[in-house]
Amino acid sequence: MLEVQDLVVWYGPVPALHGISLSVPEGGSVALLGANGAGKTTTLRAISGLIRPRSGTIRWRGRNLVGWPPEAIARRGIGHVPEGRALFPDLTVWENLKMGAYLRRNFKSDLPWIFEIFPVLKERLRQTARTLSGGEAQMLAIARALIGRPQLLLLDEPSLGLDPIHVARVFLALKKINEAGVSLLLAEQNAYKALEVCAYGYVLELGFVQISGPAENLRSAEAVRRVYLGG
Amino acid sequence: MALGLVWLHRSYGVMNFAQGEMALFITFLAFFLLGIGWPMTGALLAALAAAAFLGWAVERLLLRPFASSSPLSLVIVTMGLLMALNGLSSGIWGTLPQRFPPAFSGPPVRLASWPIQRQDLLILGVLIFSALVLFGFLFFTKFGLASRAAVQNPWMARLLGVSINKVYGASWGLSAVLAALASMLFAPKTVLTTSMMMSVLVKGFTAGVLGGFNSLPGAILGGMFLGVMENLVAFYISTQWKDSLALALIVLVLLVRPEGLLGRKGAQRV
Repeated sequence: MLEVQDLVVWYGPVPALHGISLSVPEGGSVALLGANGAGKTTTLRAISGLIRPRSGTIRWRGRNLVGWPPEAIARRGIGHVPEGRALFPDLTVWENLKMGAYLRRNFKSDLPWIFEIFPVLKERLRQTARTLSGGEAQMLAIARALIGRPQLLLLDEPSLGLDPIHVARVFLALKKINEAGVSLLLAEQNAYKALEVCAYGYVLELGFVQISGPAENLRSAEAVRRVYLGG
Repeated sequence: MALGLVWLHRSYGVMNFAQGEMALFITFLAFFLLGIGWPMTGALLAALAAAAFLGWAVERLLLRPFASSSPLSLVIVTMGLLMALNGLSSGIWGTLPQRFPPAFSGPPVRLASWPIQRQDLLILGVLIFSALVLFGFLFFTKFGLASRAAVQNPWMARLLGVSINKVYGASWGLSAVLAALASMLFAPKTVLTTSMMMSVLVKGFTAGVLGGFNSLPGAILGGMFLGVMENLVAFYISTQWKDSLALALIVLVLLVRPEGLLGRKGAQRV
């Protein structure tokens, strides 16, 4: 469904990705692992059109998305939950959700499902987003992307800055979302948690794909440990 | 005037120094249409339509090419536009003062023994009406919601499918309409010259600074406060000090409460 090939991205004179390739199958769940600065965020931002790659292709249902503006890519069914959530702080929770449904005519029928996954949001609808706790903010960010009915959801470090209870809740929610048929591409530093949800994984290091394989292989792989622990 | 400035500042994040000249140009256009025999309503409506187009075109043709550069360069573009439009108005209509007819004339209306000019009633009515329309648009339409979201985080709004260029174009059109409306309503109260907008812009800017540049109710409050202060100064001190007051107030507010009366704190580009 999503096929990224030889993606090269530079930030000005600095290379960030040196030609990475990955793919996400229909309904699949793929983890993008690696330390800070490995290129996870850059990969996601290139897929959703926020940065323009220097070369390479991003094929989505057969079309090359390179050069498309982000709003056109969103319209094609790719949702992005960015690093640091990027909520609209002065809008209420409800208005944030409505923004998530910007491209849809009728989204109210999806609300019961969303509130079933994230019950806490239902109690917070009239609060502004800036008053939410970190865990609630992350849930709202995911819910906002979800209500746009994406076929593929890009998630950038959803566990960042959360306590273990909320990390567990967020990953449980991601599992439910994937089981409902939404494909996931999950960028995470928390490799073990990510590999519990995802079926396949890529490990990035300094802009290269170092290792890739099914989750159960990666969980035990010596190489994953090496990338993370530097040993 | 202040409403238009604050609106644009909120939605675009840039201070438009050419706002006054854009409004003035449109007012001259209305004046020209009246001169060739158009009826008042027709001329005003045509001028407002032209204002919407002018605002949209400025964003589209002058600012979008610089969209990726720093806010400062955008501000400089608007200053350049100020000078260009001023020169253009002077070139076409001359620098001599003209008299712009009021939309309503006739004897003053008496309201509880206070005589009130009909034009002033119209101004008040239009101000209240346009404020209501603006709030309604911002808070009760999907596009208004998208505009508010886009101010807070433009690239996130794009990730959710908002065409940011449409939002910017509409903001510029709307703010030009508000400014032109204010200019055409107030023109009959003074004389129409190519330099009149300097003091109006200073006042609009003061009202915005006073109320806080990110607050629309603040802009209205700031405008009213400035008006009251000006008249108090004119009455108790001297009419000569009236116009300096606005500048003095800007300095004072920036020193004491930079975020304005109702504005929220937060570093923002000006």
